Amino acid sequence: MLLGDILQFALNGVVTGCFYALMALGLSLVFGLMNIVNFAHGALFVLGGMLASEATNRLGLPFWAAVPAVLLVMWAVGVAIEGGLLARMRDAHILPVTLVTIGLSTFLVNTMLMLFGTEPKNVETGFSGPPFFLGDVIISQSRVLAIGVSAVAILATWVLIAHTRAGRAMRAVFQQPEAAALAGIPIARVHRFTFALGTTLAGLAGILLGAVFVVHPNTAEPAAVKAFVVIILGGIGSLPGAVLGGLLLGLAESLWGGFVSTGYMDAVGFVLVIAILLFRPSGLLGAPAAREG
Amino acid sequence: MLEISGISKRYGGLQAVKDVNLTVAKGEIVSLIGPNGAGKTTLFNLVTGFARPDTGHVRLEGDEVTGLPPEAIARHGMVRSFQITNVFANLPVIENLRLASYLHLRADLTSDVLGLSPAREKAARTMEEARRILALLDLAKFSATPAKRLAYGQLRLLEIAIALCVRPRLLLLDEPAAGLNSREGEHLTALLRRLRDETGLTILLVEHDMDLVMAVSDRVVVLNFGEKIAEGTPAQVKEDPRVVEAYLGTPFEEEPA
Amino acid sequence: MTENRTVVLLLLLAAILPAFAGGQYVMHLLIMTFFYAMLSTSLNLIVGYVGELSLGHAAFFGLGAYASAVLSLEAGLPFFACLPVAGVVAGLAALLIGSITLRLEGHFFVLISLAFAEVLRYVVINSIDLLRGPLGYPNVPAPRLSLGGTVLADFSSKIHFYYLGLALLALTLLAAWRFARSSYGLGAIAVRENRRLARAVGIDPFRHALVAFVVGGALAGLAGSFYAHYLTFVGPEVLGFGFTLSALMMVVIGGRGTLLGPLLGAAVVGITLELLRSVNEARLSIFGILLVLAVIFLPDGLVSLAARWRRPTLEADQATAALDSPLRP
Repeated sequence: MLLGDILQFALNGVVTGCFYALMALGLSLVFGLMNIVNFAHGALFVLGGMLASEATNRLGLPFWAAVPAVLLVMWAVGVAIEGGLLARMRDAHILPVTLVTIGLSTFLVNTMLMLFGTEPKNVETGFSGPPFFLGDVIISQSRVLAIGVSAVAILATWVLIAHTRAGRAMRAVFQQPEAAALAGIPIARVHRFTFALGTTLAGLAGILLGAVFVVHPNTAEPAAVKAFVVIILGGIGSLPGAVLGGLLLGLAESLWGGFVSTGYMDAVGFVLVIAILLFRPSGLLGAPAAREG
Repeated sequence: MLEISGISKRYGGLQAVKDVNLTVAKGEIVSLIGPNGAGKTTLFNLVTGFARPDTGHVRLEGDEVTGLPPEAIARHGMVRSFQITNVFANLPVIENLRLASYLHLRADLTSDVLGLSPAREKAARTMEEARRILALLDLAKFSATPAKRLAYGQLRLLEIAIALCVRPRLLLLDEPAAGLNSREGEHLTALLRRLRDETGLTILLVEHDMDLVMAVSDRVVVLNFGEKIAEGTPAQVKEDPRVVEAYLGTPFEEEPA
Repeated sequence: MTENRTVVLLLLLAAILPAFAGGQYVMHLLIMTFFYAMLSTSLNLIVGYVGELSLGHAAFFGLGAYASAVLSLEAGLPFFACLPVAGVVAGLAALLIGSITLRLEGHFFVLISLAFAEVLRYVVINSIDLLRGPLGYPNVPAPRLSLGGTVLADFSSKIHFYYLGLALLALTLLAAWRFARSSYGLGAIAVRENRRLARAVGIDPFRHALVAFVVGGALAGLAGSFYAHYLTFVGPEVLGFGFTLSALMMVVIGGRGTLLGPLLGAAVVGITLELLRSVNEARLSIFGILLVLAVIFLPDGLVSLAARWRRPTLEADQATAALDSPLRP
């Protein structure tokens, strides 16, 4: 039935949208707050999925133990990248900073291809029971899990940023750096914390992707670009915007792929980038996107 | 020369500049003073195209330049310096001036692109002029030094040199004496006078250094909270009670009972 | 020795080199180096001189390659007619895309430049009827150089491509040199170094960026045409990010905003890329790291090393300024 199809595609879209939302939330911290065009975000997303796949399949860890372990590793990776590379270029021009993230992405993607092979990988969740039926709509257990974990992670991030000291320090550092420095907020630590949080969220998105579908290093760059699309769509620096934008992109892709054509599915994100940057006059082309001075 | 009429600019709830009228005659040095936040730099930005006025007009020798982009206004012969030091920091001093001479280096397209003799001659003449300006500002010995290595006082002079290379009819200087010591300040006073007397340059400057303002200005215009509150010769302005009040606060605060 | 003379000397050396080394594989490596040098020199106009990070350069290269392949296969035009058309097509595309995107702020320009190239690639992949989609165009014919009925070169041997590549590279360098020395190059450098000040002295940033973008795009189109007729196959991957990435590495590792830099970068990176082709992931992994290290530890590229080495007594950045002043390419 057509209605059933729409609902099924919409539900699939929500699941994909959850991955996008988590990734975009992470990138929103890095791009929206720290102003870094982080092309490695997609590679970090894949890295999360790959590590979880290794942990559950090769090491045989249960899903609930593998996830925190991988997230911890992702946090450490984030700290290392910020401390080792980005901290050196905090006030540098956009060109060298972006080049570094491109180099990093190239390194991570190809190293993963070497270490983990070229086969797509899945993450073993243990949730392989029968799917749920909601009328004509089918939803597998792992998808329910992915939606649930995403919701929890998004909420936790929101609480962290809106209601904790660390969150207040973050907002202060990136919105009023001079005042934050005067107030004695440890700027370097806040930068490291923010980047590590962004990396960890990307990693979590990758884990969940692997739990529902598969992960593959070649999806890193399209995924990074989609995360950029989402935060531009949702409004730079807006965390609710990133989440909403992620869900919208997931829905748009799923419905487009289901009803129009699968050939252009991956192009949707790029077309959206162009359309939003050029035609959304108030939020983007008007204020931050067009040049000042 | 410069005619600013009824110019206003609002940023959100802040009326940065309100209905300001100001004229500068050819060959005059006019200083714009006022307490911090009085709207002096905003007025500069409005006049030179770095911000768009909400209302009002800017005319330069009768030409309407209101709302033109900065590069077009520079081509009209109105050139500014910035409050915060602004040079091509990575390049040697002489290359700073070469870039600043851009408008005068351009030859016709063919000789420009092919490097034919009209372009070469133009370049040679322009660089001669740039060297003359360097000498005038006592910067000749730093010609090959990267700008970022200059001492602060020399850097401020380089900014003026850059502006001069555009060959302005009207030069706008935003706090040229800020951060200079008193000897450098006197040097600058003499330089501005020389520029006016020898080349007939018209100068509008924003300045906090009252010694410089009093010594160099033909007229002084005082802004407070975005409005013009006084105008006149340095001596007149110094005695004006509204100016004293703006600078020192209200008499009530000054003499607590 | 000035940079110009070094470049001319290198080209002359390359011109007499086949007299001494002529193996097929060596020839191939050198031809690919010429090709990469053209591509990175064209990208350098935008990344090096204007200072805008264009991640969509493959679009112009790929359009040139496609234009040349389609015209020679479908319309039967000879290479020497396809070549200029490829340049014009790519230049027009750059004019169109540049005039839309170069008004955006740097961060957004990076993203939108990539987006345009990727959309173009998807369009080609999906244009199965019109552009053969993923099948691409095999058997792109070799050039023929004839004069009044006599065939001067039929390009059956690599040596012909060698000299064709060298000639096109020389042409590309000549164009880049003239661009850099003209008022357009001067204006572009001013915008790169200090955008606000550039405007205050009368330089229109958008116009200068656009001129560099169009010249760079057209030169990339020429490189694309050469690529198509040398390798005889053009598929959607010529529009992919890989070519942009390779050229970007060469520009950065060699030295941005110089004439010599992209040449050195193409030689070092290009030959290493070709040699390590059998271990694809490892070589890209290594180059990712090299790109990171180069940006952080050698921001002015290999060219600046040469400058340091030649004038060991001067402080490094002074030597760089004196020898490789971006104003005297």
